Amino acid sequence: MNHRPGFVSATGIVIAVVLLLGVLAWTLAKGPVLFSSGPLNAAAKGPALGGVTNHADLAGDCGACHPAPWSSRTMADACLACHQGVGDQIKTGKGIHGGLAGMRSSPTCRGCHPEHHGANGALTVLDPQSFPHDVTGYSLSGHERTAKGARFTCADCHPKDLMSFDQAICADCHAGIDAGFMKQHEATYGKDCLPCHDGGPLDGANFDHSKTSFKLTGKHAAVACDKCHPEARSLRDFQGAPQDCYSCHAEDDEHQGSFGQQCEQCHTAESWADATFDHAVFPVNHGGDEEKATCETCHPTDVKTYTCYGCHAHTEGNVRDQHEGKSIAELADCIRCHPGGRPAGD
Amino acid sequence: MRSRSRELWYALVAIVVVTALYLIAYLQAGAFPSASGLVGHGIGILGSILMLMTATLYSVRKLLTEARWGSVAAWLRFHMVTGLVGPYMVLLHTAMKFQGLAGLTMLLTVIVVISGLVGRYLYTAVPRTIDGAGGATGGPDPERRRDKLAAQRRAAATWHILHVPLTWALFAAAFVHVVAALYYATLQR
Repeated sequence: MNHRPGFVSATGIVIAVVLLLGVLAWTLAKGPVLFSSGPLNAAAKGPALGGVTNHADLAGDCGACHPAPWSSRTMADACLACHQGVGDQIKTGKGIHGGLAGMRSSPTCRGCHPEHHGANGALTVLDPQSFPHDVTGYSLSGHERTAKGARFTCADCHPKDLMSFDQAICADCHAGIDAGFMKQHEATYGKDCLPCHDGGPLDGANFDHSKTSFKLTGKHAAVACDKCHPEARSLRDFQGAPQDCYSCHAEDDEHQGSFGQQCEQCHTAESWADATFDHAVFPVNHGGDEEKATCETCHPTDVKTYTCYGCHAHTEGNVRDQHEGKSIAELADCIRCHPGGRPAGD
Repeated sequence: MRSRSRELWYALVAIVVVTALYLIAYLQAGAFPSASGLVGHGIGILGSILMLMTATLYSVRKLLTEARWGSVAAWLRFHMVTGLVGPYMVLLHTAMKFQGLAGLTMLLTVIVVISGLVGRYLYTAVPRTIDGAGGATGGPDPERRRDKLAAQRRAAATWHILHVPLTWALFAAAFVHVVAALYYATLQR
């Protein structure tokens, strides 16, 4: 009966040791190239960084990019040691890498920049559907599918390279969708798209004015955008439009300022004519039906001041006579003693 | 079903199931799932476990003559099933990239599997006794038949000298591959 399992083999152990020594010798001679999962990119041109033009020039120096797992250095540290321009972006929070680094869960370099995919392997691989494009300041939420129904690719908007963008390409597409609208839109707002358009869920055709701080009720809803936002050339310009009535309606003021500038106290956007006013401080039907008082009856000059002498019942002479013998310092401010217009003592 | 081919059918069914699941991952990725990704890594680990079981459990069972954990024949079938399915999973793990030591490990795997299939053929083609299934050899003379049989048995044993040591080489290479993959990829921060 055997006392050893069949897999125990002296020859096998010898062969295994020979193989291990061979791997060790090869690694000592040429560097850890046996463990590479594929050739490095050799196609990159441009200025040398860290002493090499492309990664393949690093040859057997695997440690240049692969710090030991127990080292405090990460692979990103290794990348930035040579790619200092990217490091500057991250430090200042600017540019695409500054934006990406500022994300709550920022991606690693190798998440977008693979290697070991051959001498001509792509050094940037991005998926338009999953790339966090918001960090560029422009959201792709409205650009999932083209007008023809195909999925957008990066090259559709970045035909030259990913780091550059020419706004003219917006009009190329959108004029194809609605040429008349684009012509009018550019005439009103110019050709600089990005200051107003952030690609977000409320951008462009999806814009919903009710989500802003000014609701377009009544006649405001039918007004053309540039009537309230003249010369607007950026989102800031739009957001900076005045929200008080008088900034736009001063020329419509039939009261010529005598009732102040708080038009909304009496008027709504439905029409000027249906004005209402809560005149709680004094009954507006004071005097009854005999003599219908108008605003000007008690407020001949402006709404901040009033007089009771506007009605024939309250002439200056009458009032003085009725208050003779009373120590009334101020006869003009009748409401102090006659709130609601009632006789004294009521 | 001929009992001699049972293990090949079991292996085929397992391979079909593995392929179907892998195909889902392949279609989602649009390419072979990379060896270092979740699917690639997982299938590599599972395949390696199957291969470790292949290399050890049958031999151990043969030692334990008193054990009641299935017949030796059943364990040989188990050895052959895991010895086919495990390497197949490891092949899928490679994502069809055969660079460096990883490629050498896959090559050794293929050689070991082929040597196993060759061995299986030799063992079933050569009868154990003169009266064994497969027919008599060497003609009507029993002496000559016995000698011829012994020669064929020795040829089969030669196969065995390759199959086991090559497996040692395979596992040595695989061990270094796993350590290197951990160092350069899995544990890379």
